[in-house]
Amino acid sequence: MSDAPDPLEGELAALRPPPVSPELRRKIADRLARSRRAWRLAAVAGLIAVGLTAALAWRAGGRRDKAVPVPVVPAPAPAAVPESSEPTLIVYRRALARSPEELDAMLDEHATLAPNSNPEPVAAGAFARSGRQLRDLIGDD
Amino acid sequence: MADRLDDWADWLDRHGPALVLLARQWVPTRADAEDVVQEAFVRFWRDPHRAADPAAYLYACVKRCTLDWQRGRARRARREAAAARPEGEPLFTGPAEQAERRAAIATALAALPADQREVLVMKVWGGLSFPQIADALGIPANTAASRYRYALAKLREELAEESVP
Repeated sequence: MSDAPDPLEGELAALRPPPVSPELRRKIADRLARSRRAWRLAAVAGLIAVGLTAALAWRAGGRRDKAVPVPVVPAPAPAAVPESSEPTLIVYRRALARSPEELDAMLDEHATLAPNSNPEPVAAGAFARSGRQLRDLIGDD
Repeated sequence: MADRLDDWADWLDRHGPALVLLARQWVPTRADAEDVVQEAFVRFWRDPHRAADPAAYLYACVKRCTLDWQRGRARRARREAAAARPEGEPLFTGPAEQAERRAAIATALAALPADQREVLVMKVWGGLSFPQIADALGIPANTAASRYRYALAKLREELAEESVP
C-alpha cells in the first residue's frame, strides 16, 4: 500500500457537513434535563420511601414494646403441704425430728388412710412360682 | 476536548454533523436524520461508558436508531412521500463556486452500496479509526478497511464519469 495521501480523500475531508441545527441542540438539552429531573425525582422518592419505611419500622417496634409488656409472673409459692395428708419422706423426717412417737403416730395414721390399702398381709418372696412348680422345673423329685 | 465525557454539548459539536450525515444515508430528510440523532444521542448520553469506546458506541447508537426509524410503520408513508420529492438541502456546505463539485460528490456517495457508504462517512467525516468503525458496526476491522477502499475506488470511478463531458 502507498502512504501517499489520496487526493480524493483530501477532497472529501475538506467537505464539511452542515452543523447541527439549534433546534436539535435544544431538543437534546430538554430531553437530557428531563432525564436528569426524572433521576433526581426517583432518587428523592427512593430516599423518602426508605425514610418512611425506617420510621414505620421504628414506630412499630416502639409500640410493640409498650403494648405488650412482658408479664412478670411471680413464681408460685410452694404449697403448704399438711404433714399428715401425704406420706412423703420429708414429712416423715420432720415428724422424726420432732419425736419418734410422732413418727409412729403418723405412720399409723397413713397406714389407715391410704387409698386402696389392703389390710391383708401380702406374702413376699423372691420367686413368683411356688415351691412345687420350681421343683418340677429342675426335675428334683 | 470532545472525547472527555463531561459535556454533552462538546460531543454534539464534535460528532453531530457527521452523525446527521450518517443518519441521512438511510433517512430521506435532514429533519428525520436529526430526529434519529436526537434519539441516539440521548440514548448514548444515558450511559456513555457502556462500551469500551464511547465514540464507536455513539455511532452504533445512531445506526441502531436509524434501523428502528426505518422499522417504524407510521413513518413509512412519510418516507415514501419524501422519496418522491428529493430534498433540496445539500449534504455538505462550502464555497459557492464548488457547489457543483459538492453535488457531484453527494450524488456519487448516494450511489455507493450502503455498507461502504456508512464506513466512508464514519472514517472521513466522523474521524473514527478502522477499529472504532469495526466496533460500531460489529464487523472485523479488516472488513471495515476493505469497504473503505472499495468505496473510494467506486467514488473515484463515479466522479471520473461525472467529469467526462
